Amino acid sequence: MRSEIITYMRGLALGTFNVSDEVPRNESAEPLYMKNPKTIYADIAQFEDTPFLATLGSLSIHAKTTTVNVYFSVDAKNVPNNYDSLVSSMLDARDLNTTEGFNDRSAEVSTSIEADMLVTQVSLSYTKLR
Amino acid sequence: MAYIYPAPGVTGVEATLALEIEADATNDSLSIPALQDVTINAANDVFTWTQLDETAKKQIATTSTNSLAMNLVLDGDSFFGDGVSATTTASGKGIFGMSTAKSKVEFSLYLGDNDDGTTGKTVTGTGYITGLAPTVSADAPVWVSPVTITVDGEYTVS
Repeated sequence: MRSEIITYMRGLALGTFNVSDEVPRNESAEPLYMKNPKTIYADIAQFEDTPFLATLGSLSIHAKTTTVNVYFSVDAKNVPNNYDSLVSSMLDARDLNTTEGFNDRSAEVSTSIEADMLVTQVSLSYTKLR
Repeated sequence: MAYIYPAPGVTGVEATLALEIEADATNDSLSIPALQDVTINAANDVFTWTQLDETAKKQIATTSTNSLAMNLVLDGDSFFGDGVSATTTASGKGIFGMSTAKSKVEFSLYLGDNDDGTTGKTVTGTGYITGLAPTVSADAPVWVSPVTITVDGEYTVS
């Protein structure tokens, strides 16, 4: 899902933002989005497999949730004009891959202030039974 | 003591249910896969009366109403027939076909092995399949259905 999300982000009205192929941390585990404001980073997909339906036989159905976290930062005192519309468009990434059979999709935005930067995290989750 | 302790997914140890059509002489047996739960109902009717010389009601058990109730995840072959076996057999009709045809079925419910590893009990009898209600939802996109076998007569435990 990470590559699909990166491709989707590149198709948005980015304005002065840009999208990186890199993961959001360098070899020292420092967040790259703090060093490079207005650059959007998608983290490696995280997977969670939880029991959904058990039977008395061998069949066991699980819900596999794939979560991709997207990070970027902007100057907290000078938020770009297209910030709101960009975040809103990023949330729509939950509807990617409509033919994959995901039975649950969710998107969540959280923000924090680090130093003088506004850090935005967009969590995109896709759940499929298997 | 030998507690009944089925191990899900372990062949020969797990709880299993097999159905045959009573009128079918081929001994074709349909193993029901993906059972979520099974309940053995044995509800005795009770006749109650009062007597002038008793301070409490008197009761006596009469006949029982027996049934098996279960929920299962739908498997196309076992629920609608495998499309290969003769349509007079349990495998050919499937659970849905035996219900619509009102076939009298012989059931054999193995409860699972005992906790000491010995072979467990098997409950057998005859009855009719009823209560099918396959359902699916967006929150749970897996077809599941309750199934009831109304038992004709008494259970046999072996």
